[in-house]
Amino acid sequence: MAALTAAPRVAIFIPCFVDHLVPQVGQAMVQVLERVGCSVDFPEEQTCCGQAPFSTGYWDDALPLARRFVKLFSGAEAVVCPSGSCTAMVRRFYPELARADAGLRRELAGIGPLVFEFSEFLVRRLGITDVGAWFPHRVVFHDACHLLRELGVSEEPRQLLRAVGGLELVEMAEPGECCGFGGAFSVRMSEVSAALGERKVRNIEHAAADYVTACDPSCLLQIGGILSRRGGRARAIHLAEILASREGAGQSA
Amino acid sequence: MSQAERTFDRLAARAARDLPQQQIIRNNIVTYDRAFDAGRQRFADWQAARTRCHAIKAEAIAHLDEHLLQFEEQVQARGGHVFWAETAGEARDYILGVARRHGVRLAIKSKSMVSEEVHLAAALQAAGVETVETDLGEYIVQLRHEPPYHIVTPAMHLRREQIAELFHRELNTPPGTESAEELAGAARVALREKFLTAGMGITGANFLVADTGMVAITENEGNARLTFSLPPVHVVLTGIEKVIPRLADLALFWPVLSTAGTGQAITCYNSLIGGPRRAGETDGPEEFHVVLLDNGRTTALADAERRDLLHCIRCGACLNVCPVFHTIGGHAYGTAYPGPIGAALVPLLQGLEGFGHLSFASSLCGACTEICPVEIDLHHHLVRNRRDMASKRLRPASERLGLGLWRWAASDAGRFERAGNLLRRLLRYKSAAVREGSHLDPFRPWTRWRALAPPAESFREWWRRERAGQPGRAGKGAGN
Amino acid sequence: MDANPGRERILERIRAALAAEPPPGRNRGNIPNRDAGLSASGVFPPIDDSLARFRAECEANRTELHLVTAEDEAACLRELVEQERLRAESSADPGAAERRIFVQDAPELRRLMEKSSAPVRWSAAGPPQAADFAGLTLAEVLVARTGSVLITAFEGGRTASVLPPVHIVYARVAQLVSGLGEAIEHVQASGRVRDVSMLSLITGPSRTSDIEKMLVLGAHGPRRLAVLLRL
Repeated sequence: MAALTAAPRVAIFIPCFVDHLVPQVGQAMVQVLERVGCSVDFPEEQTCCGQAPFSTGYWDDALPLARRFVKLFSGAEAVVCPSGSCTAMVRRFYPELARADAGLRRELAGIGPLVFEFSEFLVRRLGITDVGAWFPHRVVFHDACHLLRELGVSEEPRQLLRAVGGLELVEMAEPGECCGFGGAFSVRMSEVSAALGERKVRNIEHAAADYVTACDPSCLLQIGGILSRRGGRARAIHLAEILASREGAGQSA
Repeated sequence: MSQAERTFDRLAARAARDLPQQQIIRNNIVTYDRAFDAGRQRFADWQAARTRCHAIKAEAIAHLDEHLLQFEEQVQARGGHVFWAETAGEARDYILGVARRHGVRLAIKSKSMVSEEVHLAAALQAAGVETVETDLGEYIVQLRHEPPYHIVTPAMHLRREQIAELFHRELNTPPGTESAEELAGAARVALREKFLTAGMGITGANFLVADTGMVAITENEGNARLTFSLPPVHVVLTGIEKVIPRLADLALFWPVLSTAGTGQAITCYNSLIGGPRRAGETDGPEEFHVVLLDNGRTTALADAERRDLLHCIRCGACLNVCPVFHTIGGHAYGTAYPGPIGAALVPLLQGLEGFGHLSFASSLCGACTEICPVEIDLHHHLVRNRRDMASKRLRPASERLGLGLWRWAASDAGRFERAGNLLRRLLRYKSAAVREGSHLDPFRPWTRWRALAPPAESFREWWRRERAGQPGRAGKGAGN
Repeated sequence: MDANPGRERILERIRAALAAEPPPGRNRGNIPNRDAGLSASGVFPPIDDSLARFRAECEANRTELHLVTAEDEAACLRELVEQERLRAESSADPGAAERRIFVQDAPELRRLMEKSSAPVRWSAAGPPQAADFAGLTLAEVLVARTGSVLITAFEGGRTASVLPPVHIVYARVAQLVSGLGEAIEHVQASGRVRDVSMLSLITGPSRTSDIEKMLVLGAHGPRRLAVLLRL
């Protein structure tokens, strides 16, 4: 793979959830990318990766969104996204959607390797694990399903977290068990989804964590939503927000 | 919505609230996880084993007709009978015919998911043939008049106390018979007489070995060995897809099946049956039948994209790692095959119309695909089933409309932004107007269990505000 | 008149189904080192010391392994048999008069049982009876990797090693092979697979974990498996 230019220029892909429900995640990611020397582009014509229609089976509705994405981001040196599931959609599922379209498949083959989930980008592409962050809290990491199983990313976020000043990283039980979000599953089978989310929250509480973090805003909406409802001490926060944090910087660890 | 779907939704919701039941499942799974991890270590390369198994099954299925004919020829050469059943009804009728011809009053069975699929026991009982399950877990659920909970551990949903109570009631075990040893011992005694007097033994098949024409049967208890040895007639009921090309392939499949199934290096008994007893053999059945069942498997075979579903060796690993199975258990699915394999395969065997809803009982976490020892693309098959339901218009109009609307909104950045702004406005408004999660809350399917608070501005709005006019950073302007 | 019209229809459907091309990108049945053994193809680690491995596996799967020599094998067997005969006698079961050990009728076992006082039912005279307190057989081959014993219907019949509550195997160390692949090869090469109606690979006494995943040894098959391995 060609080395990135000295001041890597990245285009960011902001998932719909982040755009409309947790914009601070996108803001934090921009902050961190700039801090490590990237120049950040936000192509404003972007909308959605098409995961929702794809996973519900409406592939005819997802395909145009795939085409749109490819058109919008072709030419980018790298595309960085704060969501494992959206990244997986582009890298792993767009080729399946494009089965009948040889031209699109070719374009996807070109763009696929340039699309990264945020933690993957920092560690595997830039070779950085220490972004100068400070976050003096006890944190557990939740392995989001797509990030873990479709993209094979699980060490990289932990490496980043271990390098954060003041942060105590602990492991909870069943870190790779689904939080229960699953897209439409969360409302279509809402009791089962909630039961899984509540189990995840119990594991977080058993680990006596102040924060649960992940690389997937949808998981954090699910987990965070249940945590708020329960009134527990723990809070859900995206990895990007931790990495952007300078809380307690300069104090001794 | 089919009746099956309505029932499923109801049972799943109820099971999701049953925390004590979920704890029983979890305890079982914890034991399995530990055993599986240890079992995997015995392989130099577990991933290589999986890939190899997938390749061998692909070879088996790619020449399914030749392999089945090779199998049949050798069974017949040894004096066995082979019957090809297109439907569940044909399989039941054939076996019933064999039972009648021999005047069978009592039949014994070892574990066979295909027999559940075709509802064999009920048909035999209705015809006056007492049919007794001999696998301990199957025996327990049979006494309780319920279906198996799991394809490998049929009674995993029960506590020891419940089994003790059951045996006291049904087998007259003395009070205080509570330990696992005592209960297993009571079953052994109760079933021994059945083994010794049965007129017919019915087993499944874990593998059909094409090159030597043999039926491979895997177990721990010894009940299958007694079932195919003591009665004068042995009937094997099996799906046509159980073929493997060579006897030598069992050197891989036996340990893979046991590792994925229970974490064991190998199960206690792995037997091979070639036919009825040979001249000069001390014992064994006089008559041997193999019933090869299609029942929709050729439909799955015809779909090249789905063909790997026929690789399944029925190990149950996908059930063991499925978070949905952990929550709702095996009975809620309402099919012989629960869990991910059931959700993927049953709609193909028995129709998307009646069973496609099972493919939606998944968060698509992919744990099943990750563990499957024969590398079936399980969770992706669930998405494909959903795709087929959408294209066959088997989904509710509201859903079709909703996703069409999504696509329309997402086809234009301005439209998408306006839609998002509307959503945030709606959330703010309803937060003020109704109690979150109440029946008046339009977002209740989400907010019943989870908070949902809209931010003041979207990312886009922030970006435009913060980055307006900065060279090299601003993207194209978008209308507001 | 075709008693099984479904047969042709199923075969037709299979052939028509297989005519469809599989999608690209999936494993196409290309099996690396198809004919090589599984340690050779890297799936299983190789075994350096088969006997040591066999001993370790027997301990793990609760097979009682007795290493014997020409001098002590008969006495060892007698002791085992007597132990089980007494145990059966002291149990509450009726049918004490018929309590025998079922033995595969083979010259080696005739020789070994010569000095035993236990009543014997020889396989030539018929199958084991329900009250028989043990079954004694030879074996085809032993497998080190899993601590297993492979028997066939030739070894006293199908039920000799599963109906009685105790199974005793007499084998020689030369019968020990490293892995399952070799064991299967052995029974194919010897013609056994061609000639018998049943083979069974036995790994330990029978067991079940169907009750709360608690392991119980002794389900429907034997509760005790003893192997006398002649060095």
